[in-house]
Amino acid sequence: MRCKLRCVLGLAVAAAAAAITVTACGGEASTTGTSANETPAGEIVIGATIPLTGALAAFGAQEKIADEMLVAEVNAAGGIMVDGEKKLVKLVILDSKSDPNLTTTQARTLALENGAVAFFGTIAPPLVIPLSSVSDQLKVPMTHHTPIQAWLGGRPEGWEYSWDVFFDELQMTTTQFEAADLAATNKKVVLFTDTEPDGVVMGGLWTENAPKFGYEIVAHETFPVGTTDFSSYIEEAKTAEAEVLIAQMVPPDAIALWKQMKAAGYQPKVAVCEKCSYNAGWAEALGPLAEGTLVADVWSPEYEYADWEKLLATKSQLGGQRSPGVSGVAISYTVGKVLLDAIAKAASTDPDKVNAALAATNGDYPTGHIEFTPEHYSAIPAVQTQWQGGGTVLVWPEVDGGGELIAPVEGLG
Amino acid sequence: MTQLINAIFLGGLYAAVSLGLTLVFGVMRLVNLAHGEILIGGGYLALFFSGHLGLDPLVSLVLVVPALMLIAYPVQRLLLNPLMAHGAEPPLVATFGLSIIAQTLFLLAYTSNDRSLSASYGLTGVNILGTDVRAVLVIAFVGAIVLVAATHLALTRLRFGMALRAAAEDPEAAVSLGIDVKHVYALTFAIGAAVTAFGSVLIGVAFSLTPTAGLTWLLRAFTVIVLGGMGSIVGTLAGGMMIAFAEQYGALAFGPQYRDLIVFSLLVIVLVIRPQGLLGKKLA
Repeated sequence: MRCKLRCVLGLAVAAAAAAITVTACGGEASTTGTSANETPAGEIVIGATIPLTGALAAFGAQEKIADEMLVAEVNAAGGIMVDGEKKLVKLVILDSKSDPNLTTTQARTLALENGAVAFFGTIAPPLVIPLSSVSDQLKVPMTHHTPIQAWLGGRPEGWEYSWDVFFDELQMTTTQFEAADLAATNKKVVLFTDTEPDGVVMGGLWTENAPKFGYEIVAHETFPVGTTDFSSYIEEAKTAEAEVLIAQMVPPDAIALWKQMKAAGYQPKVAVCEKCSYNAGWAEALGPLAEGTLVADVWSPEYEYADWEKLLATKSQLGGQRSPGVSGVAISYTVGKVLLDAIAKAASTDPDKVNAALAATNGDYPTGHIEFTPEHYSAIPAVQTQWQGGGTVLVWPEVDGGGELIAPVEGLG
Repeated sequence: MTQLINAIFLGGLYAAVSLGLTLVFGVMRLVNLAHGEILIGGGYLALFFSGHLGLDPLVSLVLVVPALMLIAYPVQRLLLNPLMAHGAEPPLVATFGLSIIAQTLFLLAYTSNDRSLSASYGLTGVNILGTDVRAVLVIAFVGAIVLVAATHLALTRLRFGMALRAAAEDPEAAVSLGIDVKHVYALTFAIGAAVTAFGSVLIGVAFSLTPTAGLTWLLRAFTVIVLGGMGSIVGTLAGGMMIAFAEQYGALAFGPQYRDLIVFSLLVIVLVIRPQGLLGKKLA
């Protein structure tokens, strides 16, 4: 009897585990606008497959905040006039688990089963590119925020129903040198780039741009994601007397690198960590060690663009300090608003009419003025922010309300 | 020389994070797919205790070890023991399910952001023969040797260790000798978790903790124990060293982008030449 009971208990727990696994693989759904089981014909369904878990979950959290806030505002204002009547927006969010394959499956589900007439996109090229493919195949207009060149490279012949608002890597990879110019350095640079596609692309662009700004790349360390030991690279950087460090890495590897630099007594005058320090987790994980790190950003409240106060207030949901995470909310909110404005302008959910309205976008939004090129993108000039006092401060370009670059890197001292 | 010294100390860390997996496999032939989550969970527990009580991460082991044992013992006793009666697959699937449950709980408790344990020995170096080695790696190396030696001695010299080995080699005969095999199994799982706690703290101090990081460490731990010899305690240390040497010298010779290719090629070669691993017993 005891054995039977234990066996049953064991199997029940195993079944529960399996059930959770299956649920997790399928992705959790959340719905904003109406109850999950209710889809009245008079609603506009917007689908979003975003990374709420997995490696890119920090970005998904920002997107969810923005998407839900935007839809709540639109519905509170009575919805969008479509086909002669005001309709509420129903947002269906699925967790892509940071998985490109699951993203594709979920996008098809959203369009074909949930009846999504448009998609709110996400940030990372590995997720956005497959999502854009589905958008084109099924003719579902979508707006997203992903590095422009990487996204354009996903379909050299051009995208049709997919529209991007973000920084252009060609411009963004000059900002590190322009910000470094604010400090007195020997202009010797060490690059740390992983072997992921964006690491390879950015590494190439920095190598190309450095001489244009009078900098010399004295060491370029490349390594696969998951590298745990950077000691020999740090020794090389020290030997080469590199006073400027530029990195493009995933956060866990960068955290290990920063700790090892501190342990090795290597304190560059300027240290940039792209991707790695682009959310509040950087300061949470490293504490004082994070101080002084530079990171590119796409939104600056200092410019006081539309809705900046409201968007800055979302920092309370993201660790309490201004960080690139808040910018993640701002840019997600912006691209979502561009899409809903296009639906309103088209006064229809017909994909071609919405697409035409998107092409005609020409207005001011929280990240600045947006007008799409024929290649379907609108570039936002990247800025450089620095981690200071547990949050980020705009240091380049130098504008009113911005901060001053602190050098050498305080956290590594 | 730098590579050699780095490999030795890094090898100690790899051994420390793999020892619990070796112990559980060696005694129960159980492939614990939740080992990575035990590692990360131990790290989060250390983060909790150091954050709330102001304890140094290594000192927090005083609380982390019993906490992990209290969780691990009933998991084996109530869940995995009954499933083991049905063959090797059900407990394997169950540990996979447990790993997903644990990841979800970590995510709810600590979000997906990276966390790390703050300690001075994570940010300082020790000069050894002209090479700066992080203090945490020196602690890992010394700790791994102590743990491996202590576990080996406990298994070979203590009465409980003998019961454990008896249960490992012939569970039915062990029962007939009056050994409570189910209790021995549950205690082994709990001790495995306790040993893993040291690796948890090292990972948190030297690197970082994320809810899904367990998989990366599980893969590394598997490679270590397969190379060293499945179930061989001393082999775990050897396996850890082999991986670290392969990583350091492979990166030096061929470039760091080939690191995984080199490590897993080495794994395949060792398996072909010596399927039982470096110090493992010959498979039946």
